[in-house]
Amino acid sequence: MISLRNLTVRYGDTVAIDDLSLDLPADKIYGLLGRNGSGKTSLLSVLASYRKASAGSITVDGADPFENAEIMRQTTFIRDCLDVVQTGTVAKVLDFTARMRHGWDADYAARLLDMFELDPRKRVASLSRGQRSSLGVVLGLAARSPLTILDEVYLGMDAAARTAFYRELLADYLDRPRTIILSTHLIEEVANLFERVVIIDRGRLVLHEEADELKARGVAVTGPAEAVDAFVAGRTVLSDRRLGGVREATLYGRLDAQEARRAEASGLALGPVGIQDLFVHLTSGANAGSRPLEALR
Amino acid sequence: MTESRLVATSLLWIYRPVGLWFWSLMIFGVAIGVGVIVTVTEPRFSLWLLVAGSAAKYWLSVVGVLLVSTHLRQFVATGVTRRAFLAGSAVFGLAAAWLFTLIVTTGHGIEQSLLTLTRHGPLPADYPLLSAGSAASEFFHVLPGELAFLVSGAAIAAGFYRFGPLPGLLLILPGLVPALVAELLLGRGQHGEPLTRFLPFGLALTLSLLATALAAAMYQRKLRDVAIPRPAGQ
Repeated sequence: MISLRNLTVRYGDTVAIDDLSLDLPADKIYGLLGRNGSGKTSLLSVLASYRKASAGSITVDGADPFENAEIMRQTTFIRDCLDVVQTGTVAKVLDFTARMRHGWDADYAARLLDMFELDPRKRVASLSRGQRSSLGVVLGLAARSPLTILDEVYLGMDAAARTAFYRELLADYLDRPRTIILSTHLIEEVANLFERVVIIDRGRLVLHEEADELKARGVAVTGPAEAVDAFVAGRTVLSDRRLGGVREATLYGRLDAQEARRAEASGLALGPVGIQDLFVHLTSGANAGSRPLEALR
Repeated sequence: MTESRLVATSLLWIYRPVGLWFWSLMIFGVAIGVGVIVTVTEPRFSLWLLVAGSAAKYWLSVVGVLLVSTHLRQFVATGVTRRAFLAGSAVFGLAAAWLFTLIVTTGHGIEQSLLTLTRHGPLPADYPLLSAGSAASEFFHVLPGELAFLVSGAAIAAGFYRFGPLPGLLLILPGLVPALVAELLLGRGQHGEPLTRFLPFGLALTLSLLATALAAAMYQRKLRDVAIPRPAGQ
């Protein structure tokens, strides 16, 4: 279990994480979502002991992870910049990681190298952006760490490589459940992997809940404009589109069976809303500014 | 194996091939240089001490810089604590400085033996002769310089790493102290001979080691809780 209490991270006058409190139960796949500069990487850096919090506390299984040998040993944090010796070859990087990581699975790493078509003789500096990301994925998955943090590791990967990564991540997680935190901007693509979603914006928690619950919180209501107007009155409207006399309103909030029946009786169609749509609406400037950020759970 | 020991052995594993290349080049280069010297003139100085002895110090100072700029984040990324990294890199640094000192001193002996073999008389009086008795003295004369340059490199890099470019520039001065003290008190003469200047050897050695220890403590304080930022330009 990861627990954050009033966590704050500052860089001089800039507040990257602002008084954030959060509990993350173990052995789940989390999607950490936030706009650029929302504080995702700062939060992950504190989780991985790359950085000390400015204020507040963080515990992993009840202990502060910063400079905690036991916890750091069981944590893998892969950033898009890859914290490896750039002049070394892929094989050297893997050899080094194998020396340092007790749980390193060399056979699995070799299989992933094959899957991503990475040449172990190539120098890291000569790899393409996508190949470097693939190497990050190999390092992240083959370490088999109980806490695996992947921060935008997909950068530059082509669609086939990303699909292979998602498939492999899920298969390996099902085989060896552990806590995986994925920070990504490709929300729709990865949304099906998330068990829980954490959304932060301007360093503050916007939302933390089960992915399925989150999906169920949004509903698209489409129909004659007047009927939609009447139905959505008093509800939180995330977005609104009109075409002629037809209006589509995206609502934030669950509809109970009675409300759903009332909508259908009014000639309205109800449809699902993707996590990405909810994310965009929850963190867009207009929405974030017009109402207080709602911290759920 | 403890984490710090793992760090030390891993650093030795990383630098073993580079070190072999370095010393191979030194041996090759100095061998050619000595060959040219004995052909055209009298060997009045130890090329080995002047070239390889100096290069070893500078190479170690570069290693000191790399410990901070490259290896710190590399090790922390594999789950090593800063504390273990600092302890392991200290052991590695001591081992590397000791080994380099041994190679420099031994190389001097080998150079002298080869020069003696190629001549039909004694070496010129200016050549810094090494004897069984003076070998230990030379070893402990070279060692503080190797340690000082390694620590200076690491301390200067730690200043930039922790505080950024401008404060880092100011911290160059305290970082340079070990290297300057070692050079000033226990430097080398124009023939490569070890010099003890201004103070008796024992006091000079103590002061040099003290300056190195203080800079090492400064290095440790700068890095013991430092953040691991993204590398510049990435």
